[in-house]
Order: sequence, then structure tokens, then C-alpha cells
Amino acid sequence: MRRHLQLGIKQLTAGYINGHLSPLSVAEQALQDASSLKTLNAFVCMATDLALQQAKESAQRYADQRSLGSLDGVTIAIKDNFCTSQVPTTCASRMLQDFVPPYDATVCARLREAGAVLLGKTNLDQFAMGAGTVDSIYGPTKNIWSESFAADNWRIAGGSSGGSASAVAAGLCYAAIGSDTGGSTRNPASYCGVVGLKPTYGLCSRHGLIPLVNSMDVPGILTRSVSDCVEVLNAIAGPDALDSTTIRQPYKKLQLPEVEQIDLRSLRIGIPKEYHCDALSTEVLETWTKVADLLECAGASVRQVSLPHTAASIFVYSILNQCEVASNMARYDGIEYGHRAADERSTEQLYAQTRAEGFNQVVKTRILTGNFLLLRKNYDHYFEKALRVRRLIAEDFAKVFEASAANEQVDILLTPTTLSEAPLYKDFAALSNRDQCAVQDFCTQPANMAGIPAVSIPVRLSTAGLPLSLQLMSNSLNEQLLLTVARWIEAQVEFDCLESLQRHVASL
Amino acid sequence: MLRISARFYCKIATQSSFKAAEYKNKIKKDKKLNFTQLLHPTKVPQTPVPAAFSDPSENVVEIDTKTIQLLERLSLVDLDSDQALATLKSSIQFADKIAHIDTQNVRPLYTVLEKQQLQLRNDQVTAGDSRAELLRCAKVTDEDYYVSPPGNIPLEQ
Repeated sequence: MRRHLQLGIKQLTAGYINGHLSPLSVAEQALQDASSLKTLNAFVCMATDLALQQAKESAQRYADQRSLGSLDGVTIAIKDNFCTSQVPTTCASRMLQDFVPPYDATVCARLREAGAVLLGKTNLDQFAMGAGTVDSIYGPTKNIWSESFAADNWRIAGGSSGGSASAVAAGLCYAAIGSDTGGSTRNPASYCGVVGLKPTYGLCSRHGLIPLVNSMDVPGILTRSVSDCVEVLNAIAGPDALDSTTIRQPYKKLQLPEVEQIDLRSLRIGIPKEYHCDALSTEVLETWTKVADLLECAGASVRQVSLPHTAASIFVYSILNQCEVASNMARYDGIEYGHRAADERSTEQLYAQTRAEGFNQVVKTRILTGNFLLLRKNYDHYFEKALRVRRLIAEDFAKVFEASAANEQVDILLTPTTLSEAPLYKDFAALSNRDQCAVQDFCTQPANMAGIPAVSIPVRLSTAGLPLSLQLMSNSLNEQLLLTVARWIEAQVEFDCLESLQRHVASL
Repeated sequence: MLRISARFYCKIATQSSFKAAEYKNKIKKDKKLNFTQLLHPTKVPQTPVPAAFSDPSENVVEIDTKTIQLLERLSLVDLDSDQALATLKSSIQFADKIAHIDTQNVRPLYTVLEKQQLQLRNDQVTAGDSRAELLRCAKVTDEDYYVSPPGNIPLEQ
């Protein structure tokens, strides 16, 4: 057992400072572990040389007592839809299979400047379109909590940031960056038993994040604890001149109170009743019920609230997603970068052939559907209509967070993240990508509609021994309170993110 | 320096056991929360809450050949199988489910940052000359140009 894996980021860097641990040996072991755990398929590309180089530089900085701060020498992984200078960035698609960006996404640049050691790029559904990390040209990512890795009897990692979640859950890195458009960070976090944060829209720069749905995409953070999540958020958040959709007010670094100092007595928790939908599993319901009770026992006021447009949200999300995808995917034509087909008969023919070869069926169908919904005769009926309903969904949240009567207001919403534990691959693959997204994203995509922050935290294991998680949501820019409550719950439930590793050993 | 054991910890990597962790685990299990015990009447609905909006009848979506050809031209991807057509139709059916929601006097929400003024920057060159870097990403170039086959030829359908 790598003892340092049990440490949080703060303790790890404390170990670097006092010389008990070294960034270089931690990075070397992480690379070694990643190669022993190849069966998980968490990484699509290891940045071995770069990682060792960065780790050496970090070790030197510690030796010189001029460390760059709380992430210096911390091993991280980044989802393969963030541009990384000199490291291939593929979106797990043939279209970008040999694309090496000439620049860093802002998130990557800030992590680099903070001294973090990039181990490699993680797997995802092609162009982040999916909820399972099963639609990748590099094959599916497996969940470390699986009872077995044989045939198709293993559990999916969730998606689309499944590689990032799997890497953190397996102890291959301390933190990973994902992206979240409709739940792509929180969904795999829930299935893999790690913390997954979707920050407020505009808090973290999207510059260099290959766009899926511009009006909803946010960089996400996956870690094994809430405190680690805060460390990463503090490094990447804040305005960016390169992304005009970042929130302009300066970012004030979060500092969470110690668990013993968290007082919930003035906290108002809302339970949105519409989140109990048909497919919710008994065990998730039981978990949701118990944690609500725990909060109430600690003095928080807990009450049921209504977000009446919740059930409509998944349809609106599907429309907006396909429309923005149709527009965003228009950039891939084979001329300036990415895959280029051999068809030289005409420009149009080259474009079409390039796209036929570069995109998978999921991407193609979303483009076609998006263009149908955007046809002049359909534009108002579908696209504009969806944007109007989107306002109703956002207003549902505003009503509970900003109600004029104080006794009707809530500070935090508590809901499930996913409707069940991680499904078996064979069960998941039995449904189409579109049908799966409608189920998988039910509880997560409303937060993206409204741009509000949301976090998934693991709570306990199901009878099958798989993580069950819950989601907290709060008003825009209320990350401080959101994560404080998450930290309190984390301390009560004492979920051990690395238990799967021990269990794999114990079961033999 | 603290000694980091080189032993692997996962069944895929090794077959060795790790007693200490098991032991620690056992202690932890003993004081685990009882998830069926509640101290307050719960506020979490114990039965599914039916959707507050009704489903329109499953209207049959028909798409004519002309529309399909138009979509293929606009999308520059081919609708190459019956399964793809079925998915397209079912996605449209799925989208139809919000048709009956009353949105009278509701403005479209294009961005959640609508209250923030979009920041404009001065029209000045801020980035360096990156011609070589950018051209390197292309598969075919000629001197400082991207190369494409002849244009203005309609797509064969």
C-alpha cells in the first residue's frame, strides 16, 4: 500500500516541505501504478517524460525552499478534451486523434503555473457526448469498484469524465480535471465514489476546453476529499481575459472551516420533491433520506420544496445540446487541423468524407438532429421554445434560493446525483446513448441549465459494495457554503474512497 | 525520507494481502451509520413524484427524403443507416415533449450571465506570430497556405 495515497493534498505538500516525501518518487510511483492498472483504461495518453520533468523541477523548488504553493508537486490528470500544449488532445475521437494543440487551456496553464505534475490525459466519451465513458475510440473505462473485470461483467465508470473519476478513485492521482455540461463530472464521481464539483458557470475559464455546449460547459474537479477539491478550485478559478464568459468579479480563495467549527443551525436545506423520479433505486432513496435526517439532527432546518419544471429539464437539455453540438462540430472539416480524408474530388466532398470517418454514430446523429431542430421552420418551435423553458427552470431555482419571504428560502438543495449505483457494462450498453443520457442526467443537468454550482459526494456503499452518492446544489457563486456543507457530510459518513483498493486485495 | 513501500495494493497488480488496512476497515464498519434509523419525520418523498406536466401523445415523426438530403448537406455527415434514422426520429419525438408547456411572455434564456455585460477588449494584437505553429496542425499545406480541393462543386448525394 502506498501510504502517501491516504494523505490529502495539504498533508502531501507538508510532506514535501519537511522532506519526508518527494514529488519525484510520488510521480514515479503514480506512473508505475497507472501502468499496472492499465486494465481500467483511465488514461488515453501518459505524459511520462513531461511528468518526470515537472516532478524534478518541483523537487528542486522544495529543496530551494521556493515552492509554488499548495499544488506544487501534486500529481493530477486532465480530461482529454482540454488543450494541453505539446501533449496530444483527442476528445477520444478519430477526428482529433493526432491533434497536438499549440497552446494550454487556461485551466491547464494555471495548474502548470501552480506546480502540479500532469501525469496524462484521461478517457471520455467521444467529444464528451455520453454518460458512461463507453463511446471512446480507446475503448471503455472501467470502474475500480467492479466486482470483476472479466468479459463485460464489470461496472462502468460513468461519464463523460469517466477516465478522470476512475484515475482519482484508483489512487493514480490526487486530483483530476473533468468537464461538466449536463453532469459529466458529477455522474462518474458518483459511480466511482469520489468528490465531483461543477462550479458556477463562468467561475472557471473555458478557454481551451473543446466546446460541447458553450452555454453550459464548465471545467469540473474530481478529488478524494472536499478539502482537496478546494485546493484545486482555488488554483483554477477566477476571471480570464481569454474567455469573455468568465465572471468578472475577482475570485476570493475559499477557506473552509474545520469540521468541528461548522455550525448548521442557521442552515436551510431544501429537498426538491421532483427529484424522486420513477427510476430512483431504493438504496439511493434510503441514503438521501438518511443524510437529510443527519442534517436535521445537526440543527439545520430541512423542508420539502418544489422545482416544478424539473421533469421538463431533460428534454430542454437534449434540444439545446444537439443544437449547440450541430454548430460547434461545424469546425471539423479536415483543413486546418485534425483528421483529413483522402477524398480530393471537391471541398464539400472532402469535408463530408472527413466527418464520416472522424465522428462516431452518436456525434453524427446529434449533429443531424441539431440541424433539424434549427431548420428555419423548426427554430421557434424547438430551439427558442427550449430557451424559454430554460428560463422557467432557472427561475424555479431562483425562487427557492431568493424567495422574498425568508421562511421560504433555502441555502442548499439536497438530491441524488445518479439514480442508482454504477451499472454493469452489459446492462448499460443495452440501451442507446440517447436513452441512457435521459436517465443518467436526470438529477444533474438542471444545475447546468441555471449555471449554479453543484457537488457530488460519496456517502456509503450499496449492498453490492458500490458507492452511492448524493448531490448538493446552491445559488450561483455560493461555493463556500456548498463545500462547507459537503465537508460536514463527508465527516459524518466517513466514506473511504480508497477502500476498493484494499478490498481487491482482501477478496483474493 | 519516509519509506514508501513498493508493494502493490490492488488485485490486478498483486496477489499479496494487506492486513492492516483490513483491520482498520473492520473497526470503521462497527461504528457505521445506520441508514434505516431516522430521528425526524422525513421530508424526502418516499414515493416517486409524478411529472407535473403531461406527455403529449407519441406523435409519429415523418421526415421526407428532401429534408434528409437537406440535413445531410447542412451537416456534411451522412444519415447512413436505418438505425440512425430511427434515432433521429426518436430524438425529435423526445424534443416534442416540451411543446405544450406554457411559455407565454417568457423570454428565451440564452446565457445565465445575461445580467453581466460582455467584456470587450481593445482591437489590438495581443498574441505573437504563431503562423508556423498553426500551420503545423494541418495535414496539407503549401508554403504558408492551407490546401483544399476545388470548391463550388455540389456534394454528391
